[in-house]
Amino acid sequence: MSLDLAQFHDAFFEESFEALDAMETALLQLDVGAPDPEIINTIFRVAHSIKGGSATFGFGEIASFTHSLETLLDELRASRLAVSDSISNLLLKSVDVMRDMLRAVQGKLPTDAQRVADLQFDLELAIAQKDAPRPAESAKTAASGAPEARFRIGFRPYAQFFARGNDAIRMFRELSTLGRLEVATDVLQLPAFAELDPQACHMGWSIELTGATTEEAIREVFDWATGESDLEVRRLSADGGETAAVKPHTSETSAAPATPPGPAAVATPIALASATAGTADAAGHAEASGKPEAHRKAEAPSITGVGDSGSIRVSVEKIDELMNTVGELVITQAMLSQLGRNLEGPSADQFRSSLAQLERNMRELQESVMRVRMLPISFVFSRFPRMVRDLAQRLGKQIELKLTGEHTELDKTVLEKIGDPLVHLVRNSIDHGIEKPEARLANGKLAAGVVHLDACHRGGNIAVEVSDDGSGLDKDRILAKARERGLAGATEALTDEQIHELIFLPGFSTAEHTTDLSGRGVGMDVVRRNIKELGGKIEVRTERGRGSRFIITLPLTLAIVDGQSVSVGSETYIVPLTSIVESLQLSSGSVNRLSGRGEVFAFRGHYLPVIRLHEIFGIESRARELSEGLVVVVEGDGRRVGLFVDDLLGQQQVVIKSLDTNYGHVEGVSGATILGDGSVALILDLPGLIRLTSLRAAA
Amino acid sequence: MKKRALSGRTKHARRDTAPRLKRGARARRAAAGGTNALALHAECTLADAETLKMRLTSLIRSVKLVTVDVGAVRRIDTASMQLLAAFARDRRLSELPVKVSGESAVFDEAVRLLGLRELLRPSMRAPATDI
Repeated sequence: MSLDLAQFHDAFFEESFEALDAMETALLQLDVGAPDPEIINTIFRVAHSIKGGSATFGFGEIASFTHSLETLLDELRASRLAVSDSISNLLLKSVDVMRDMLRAVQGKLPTDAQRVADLQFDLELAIAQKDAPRPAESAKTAASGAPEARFRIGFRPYAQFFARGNDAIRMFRELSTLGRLEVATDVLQLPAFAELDPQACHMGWSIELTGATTEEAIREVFDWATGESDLEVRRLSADGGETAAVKPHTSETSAAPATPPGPAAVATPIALASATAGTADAAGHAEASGKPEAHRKAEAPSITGVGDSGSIRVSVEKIDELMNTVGELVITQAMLSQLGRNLEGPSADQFRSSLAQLERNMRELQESVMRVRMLPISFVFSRFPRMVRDLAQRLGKQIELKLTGEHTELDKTVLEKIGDPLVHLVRNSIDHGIEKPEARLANGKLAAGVVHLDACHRGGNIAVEVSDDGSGLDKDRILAKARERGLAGATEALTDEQIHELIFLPGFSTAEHTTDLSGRGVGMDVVRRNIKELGGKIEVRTERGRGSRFIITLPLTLAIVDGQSVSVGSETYIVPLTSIVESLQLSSGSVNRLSGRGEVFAFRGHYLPVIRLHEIFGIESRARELSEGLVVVVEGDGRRVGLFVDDLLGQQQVVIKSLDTNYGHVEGVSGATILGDGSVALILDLPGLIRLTSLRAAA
Repeated sequence: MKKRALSGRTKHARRDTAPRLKRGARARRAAAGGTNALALHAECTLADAETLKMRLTSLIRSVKLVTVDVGAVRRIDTASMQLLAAFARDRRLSELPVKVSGESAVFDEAVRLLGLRELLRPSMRAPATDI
């Protein structure tokens, strides 16, 4: 029965993309002057895993490219090649190419063969320019200082060893840096040439290593083949006897070969002992390598072992389904609570007490399920070190990127949608905010500017801040540009806050020259719109010459909203709590009617328009006069308005049900929810509602 | 050079004496009729292992001397070395001549590291040696 490898493709792609992210992060940490061997090992491990996976799944182009990359990394690991800026750039470009190749294969699209070939050529060129061998530093660093010892290593790869991207030559080369090797090859299981599968490994080795090293350092060399080979390392006493049997390779991993290690030996097998001094013990080797571990578990093609981190991969659909069911439970629980309130009789109190407990449990369940969907914002932040590095190089600026609060978690959907706005803000900071080194020095600043990304929980929200110590927004220039484009009246006096708001208007840009980075004026309005769509908001704080801060406030999740329920006639509407500024009752004298602009009322020095919800939705309200009902001051799209409602009913968390999916788009409504009594309440979309009102007023 | 002294014998003559000669001697005598050369490519990796096997397969039963030229090898992996080892071993078992020729530090390093000197480079200092 053949194994359908296609079922592992998704996992492979997902893990490969994650691995590439890790590789990119590691590359950015690589100190060109004094590279940390562990970082190079991490990078090598990623390339090796992707190569192995690609080869297993038959993605030849990726396997071939990663092979070249791996060879280069191997040279770096062995210190035969020094890490330079150009190598570092080459490796980063390789990450990009591998990512694109994986995307292409995943989407069954053609790859950019020329780009791949060019970069592969550059990799080969770099490999060819390697220096004369220098002592490697990785495993030996840890082993240095160890007394000279002799080890017998029995190494028997499984049949799929090559297919997983392993190469014994590379391993033994690394092993040779630990001491003197005497290698004996076991070809007992090597089939007749005609029957030999060139993709399968049939050989085994017995190696005697003499050097100032440790068992750990030896095992580290074979780390790459964990689960794909049997390994035995035995320390030999001075007379050549074995002093201590050390644990076999497979005991830690309990992994097994997908196919048994090779067919029966040929009719006339010969075991060959080729050694530096001709002293290798072939018979001993046969004993050491001929006994594979009896108990092994099946191994799935995977880059990261499923059980390694105590986590499992679950599809988003399953979590959404779970979330939906929890949402339904919340509604059912609310219905029961309502029922319980009116219940009378001997068991009523007990029922209500049980209901209270159910409510607590429900909240815990809801929070637990929500936490499952939460991911650290580092998933988004991780792209910035590379981006900042590349942009700084291109623009000739010196920029230090500071990331804080990367572990702050937020909903996966929010996380996916916040990436682009953040990229835009960071690009703007680098392009427009941070000055050139000479300009900064002239202004008494350090040559290197700082771009700071921070995330933290603030109440029930997440605040993400992008700040820089650049030149700050030029208020006069913004105002002049806005007047030039008719976005602000020639004589209109604007507060600082209002001027800063102008940058969020469509088509606004103060850039002298348009670059491919920014300056086309198609960004900040989109940034704001995207953030609004997520139920969040963006604010600007800036000081001329000192820098700017863009503060984004986002809800923790899009599935549940903290809402204020308000009644209008017989209907209940939900106003998102984050939009509410204040609620008040107006006296009839405080309302003015403006010709063509409806009713306005004075609120903290500003006149705010009144939106009568019953008029918007065409329903009969109980309160006709403004003094009979309440006005809820809300903010949407940077504008404040007063919503005229009959009454405030209470605050509650509501589970959002999409209207677009279940019914259709309704202007001014972002979704619906089911209340405790089973009735449906619409959740107001305040920016949409304000737009709708403006359109009606204009008409 | 004793082996080469057999050159010049006719096909007919070989057939006449065949029953009385050992297999190896037959082979050596046959080899004297010419050589088959196979030059390895610069890159000998798993991706090309099938091709290499096909090239070697066409020569595995050749009674002529098979010369594997490694001079161009810039990269070689264990899978390719395994193929060459199996090829050399089988020919040796059949007492058919095979020779590894050419200078390649990469190839020699692979031979040394994998412990295949006896099969592929009996004398590392003199690479062009009959085996």
